[in-house]
This record gives sequence, structure tokens and C-alpha cells, in this order.
Amino acid sequence: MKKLFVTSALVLAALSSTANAAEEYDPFEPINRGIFEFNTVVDGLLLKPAAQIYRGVVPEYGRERVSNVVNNLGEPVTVVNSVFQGDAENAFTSLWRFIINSTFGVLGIFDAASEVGLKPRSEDFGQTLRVWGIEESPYFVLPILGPSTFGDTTGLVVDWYTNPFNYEGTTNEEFVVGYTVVRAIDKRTNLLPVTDELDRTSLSRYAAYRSAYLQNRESEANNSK
Amino acid sequence: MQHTEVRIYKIANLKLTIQNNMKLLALIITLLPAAAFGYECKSPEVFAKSVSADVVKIVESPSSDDTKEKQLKAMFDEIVDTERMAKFSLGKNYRNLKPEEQSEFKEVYHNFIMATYIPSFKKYNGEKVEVINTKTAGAGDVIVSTKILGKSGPETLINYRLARKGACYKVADIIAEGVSLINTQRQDFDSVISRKGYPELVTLLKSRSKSQ
Repeated sequence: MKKLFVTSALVLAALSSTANAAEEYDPFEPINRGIFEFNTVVDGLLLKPAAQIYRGVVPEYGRERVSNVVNNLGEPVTVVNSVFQGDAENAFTSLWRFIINSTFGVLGIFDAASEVGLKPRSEDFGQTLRVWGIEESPYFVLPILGPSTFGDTTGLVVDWYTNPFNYEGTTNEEFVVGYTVVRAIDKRTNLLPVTDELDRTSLSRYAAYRSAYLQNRESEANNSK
Repeated sequence: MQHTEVRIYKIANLKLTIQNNMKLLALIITLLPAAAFGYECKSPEVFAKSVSADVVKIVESPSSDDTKEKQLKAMFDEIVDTERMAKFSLGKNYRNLKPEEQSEFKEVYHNFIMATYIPSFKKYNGEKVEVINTKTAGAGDVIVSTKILGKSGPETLINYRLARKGACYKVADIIAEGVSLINTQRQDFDSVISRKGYPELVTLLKSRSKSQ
């Protein structure tokens, strides 16, 4: 079974193409454009203003602290995926980052681990699939969540389940909801400079976002290899 | 005896002066392309360092925004290869254009890039640029990795693709977080061409060059 899996992964690796400038594989473009427009409206009404207010009201120091907590809670997923990718070094780095930041870093508020030389490199299941060579995927846009691929969507699901903070026993539902909201605003705020720049410089927002997303995911996967 | 010595000394001095002048002339010739500004072309790393130093010097100077913009624009043409970027951004569509259309596009693209990216200097807030390393890429290009250090700490990694141009280098692409500017532009422009046609692309680029 393992041999079959490895062989098929290798075959797919040979077939998989890098998302370069040649042609971006977007067979669902009409639907995607529709969802992208929808997302833009929702983003404009809810998420972006929330992020802008957050950025305007909370000083950078405070926002960094929140980001640190959010990133810290994401470390277990990185550990799991680094193991899946056979990256023992990053698995241990991430594990130690989690331990150090949760203790010395006061529940993740301070990134003490970086001071000691343990730099963050987050991994998710979408990247794991790419490292395994399985990412021959069309591009699609998820409602609300935005750009994705087969691997990234699978990744979202897998990451949800492999995140110990989402388990019923560990934490309660209110925490998970709260954490998800904070995570969404944190991520949106961090992406504000990027989205503002893309909006400003692109002629077709849809094409620019798609290209930036696919290139970025590809490069993240290459960094993991 | 003394007389002869003085003569020899004088002749030696004359030789030295000629040698110095030759060295000076050689120096001027090698620096001629860069003579307008301070940057050097010895190596991609040296080039990157001196260009960023020059840009910071212009932006930090006490002159007016208009003066700074003019200076940056003058520098821009020497260090950015918009012609190559223009061709790449159209991809295979470039070959389908007539020669007049091709030259028109190169100019429109050039103005678009200048109008879009030069005014960003106004957002400068004391950032420092650090050149980290260089790596050869395909076709004689070099990728220079730089780190932008913000005042309060955030670091941004930006890579520049430099192409050899004559005795010096020119920027052919900017890559951040794995996202290449010209790759993104190629997808962007291709989308406009296939949905709205090439003339619309030119119109959009022209209008963006005015309203920035």
C-alpha cells in the first residue's frame, strides 16, 4: 500500500507543473470570478473595514502581540505537517518554538523563541501535498475564504482536525469561535498592504490575485523542500 | 652632479603625471555610464548597494517632492529595463503586434511603471536596505536578495532580477514572497486582452499613468 502510494506520488510529481507564467490552470474561471466578486463585496463590507479599524485603533505593538498568540496556536499544525514532509528539523524547531513561546513567551504573546534563533516557518497540509508532489489542481475561489486549490482546501479540513485546539476535550466552542474570528482579522490586517498594493497596481484584480496566490503558494512549497 | 639629478627627478615626475592622467581617464571612462549618479557596476552586489544608497540619499534629501520625483525618474531609466519587462508582460501577445504597436506599447508600459512605482517614495519612513546575497539565474541574469528593515523592526525580503546591460546592470523583475512582478503582470494583462481586447489594455495603462 505504501509502495503504491509512493509510486503514484512520484508519477504525479513528474506530471505536476509549476505555477509559472505559462498558463495558470483555471477551468472554473467564470464561476471563480463570480465568487471573487462576492468575496470582494463581503470583504469590503465586513472584513476589510474591521481590519482597517483594528489597524487604526490598536498600535503595532499590540497587533504584533495578537499575531504572536495566533501564530503560536498554529505551531502544532506546523509540527504535524513538517513530520509529514519528512522535515525533522522544522518539526523540532516548531515544537520548541511552541514550548518556549507558550512558557517564556507568556502563552505566545512574545516570540521568545526567535530571540534564541528558532525562526518560524509555518507549514500546512496544502504545502505538504505540494511537497509530496500531489498538486495538479485547478484554481478556485472559495466563498469568504478566498483563493484555493484542491490541496489547499483539503489542507483547510485536515489542518482543522489536526489542530489540537479544535478538539472537543481541549477547549470549548466559544474559544474556537473567538479564536477563528481573531485569526481572520489578524490575517486580513497583515494582508492589507498586499491587497492594497494589488488593488492599486492591477488592471484585472481577479487575474492579479490569482497569480499572486498561486506563485506564493508555489514558493512556500519550494521553501519546504 | 646635482643638475643631472634634478633633471632625472623632473623627468620621473613628468612620467608619473602622465600615468596619473591615464589612470584618471580610464576611471572616468569606466564610470561614465554611472557618472550621472554614484552607483557602480563592478558586480551585481556592488551595483545593488550603490543604487539603494543613491535612492535613499535622494529620498532623504531636504528637496521638495517634485524635485525628488524628477531625480528618481532620471535615475529610473538607467537602472530599470522597462523594455524587457514590457515584452515579457505581454507574453506571446507581443509577437502578434505590428512594429508600431510594439513601440507604442513599450512607451505606454514605461510610463505606466513610472507612474505606478515612483510615487511610492513618498511613503518612505526611514527604512534601511541591506543587500544579502546574489545568485545567478538563467540567461545571464542575477538575483539579488535584499532585506528592507523597517524602523520598528519588521523585515521584508525583496529579490531583484538583474540583467546585464552593456557594462552595467538593469532591473528586470521584482520578486517578493515568491511573487514576481512581471509574472503577475503577464497574467493580469493577458486577462484584459482576452476579455476586453488589446486596445482596451493600452487605454487602461494610459489612464493609470495619469491618475496615479
